[in-house]
Amino acid sequence: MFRVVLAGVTLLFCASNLSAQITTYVAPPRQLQPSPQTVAVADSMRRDSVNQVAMRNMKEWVDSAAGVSVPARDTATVAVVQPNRTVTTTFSNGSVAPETASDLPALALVGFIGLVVGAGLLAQKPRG
Amino acid sequence: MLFRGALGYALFCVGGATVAFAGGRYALGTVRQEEARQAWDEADARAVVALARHMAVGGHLENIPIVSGAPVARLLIPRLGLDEIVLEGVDADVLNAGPGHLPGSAFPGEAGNAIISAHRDRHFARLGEIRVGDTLTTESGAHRNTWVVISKRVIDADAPALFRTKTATLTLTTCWPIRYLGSAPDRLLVTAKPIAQTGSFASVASE
Repeated sequence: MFRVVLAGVTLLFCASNLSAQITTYVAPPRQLQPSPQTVAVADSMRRDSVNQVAMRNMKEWVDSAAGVSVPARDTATVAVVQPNRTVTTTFSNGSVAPETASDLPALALVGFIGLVVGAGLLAQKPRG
Repeated sequence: MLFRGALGYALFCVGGATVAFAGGRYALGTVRQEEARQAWDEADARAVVALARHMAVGGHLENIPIVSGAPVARLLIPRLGLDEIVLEGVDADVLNAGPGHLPGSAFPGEAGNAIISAHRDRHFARLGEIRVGDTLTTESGAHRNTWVVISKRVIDADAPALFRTKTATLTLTTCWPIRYLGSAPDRLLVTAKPIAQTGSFASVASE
């Protein structure tokens, strides 16, 4: 059982090297020349997106100049704690809620899983 | 065989150390909360005298330097079965021991916004069950206030949440969602307004 798992892990790590040895040549798809209309549309979209970024930055600049605390947010990183995140330790008007997030539950769960898996590995009798 | 044994030992040791650390922190918090509860009873009388003396010289409670971690209030939420001693400060050690009173905010019963925060996996584990209309009670020095919950909302952790108020307000905060592994992205804010008060600093000062 353990040998099978070990072989699987070895294959997993060596898969990229092995595939480099046995993969046959695959012709890349032909590059199509974009038509002038496609180039024009792509250029227009690129300029539109640049304009949006400029508008967004302008809003943040105006907010900061007005003294309004609007922290920049990226919806893709909601759960990530920023290292320079403001931590409220004393009350001030408009401050964020105190940092009550705790990693202890996750730590305890990860530790428990490690403990159980480790005990399981140690308890397995050697074959033969 | 050797690899499996080494991996097993490593996982067992690291897992055990991690569980021991987390369990130790929980145990330490429980011990500190019990100590705070005992200290609260003993310090109650002293706090009343200190408050009375301070008010007699015309000061305000927010000017009293209170040591971080000192018990400053008692919070009771009957419907949730919550009865905790609130400590001064919101740093990690204080919040591990009990709900923390945000320094600089009003004390419960004073005019202004009194802010109390706690961890969602410990003292405010059931705060999410609170409803608008529920009553809370706080004891702080000579005050015993009864509050009614007027709002309950979830906001982003980075959003401005705490504001000064002219009238007495109680704000409880914790992380949201309650059941979340890792650093929770939002905050639960419960706001309450007083409906009854017994005792006052003025009455104590005049005694």
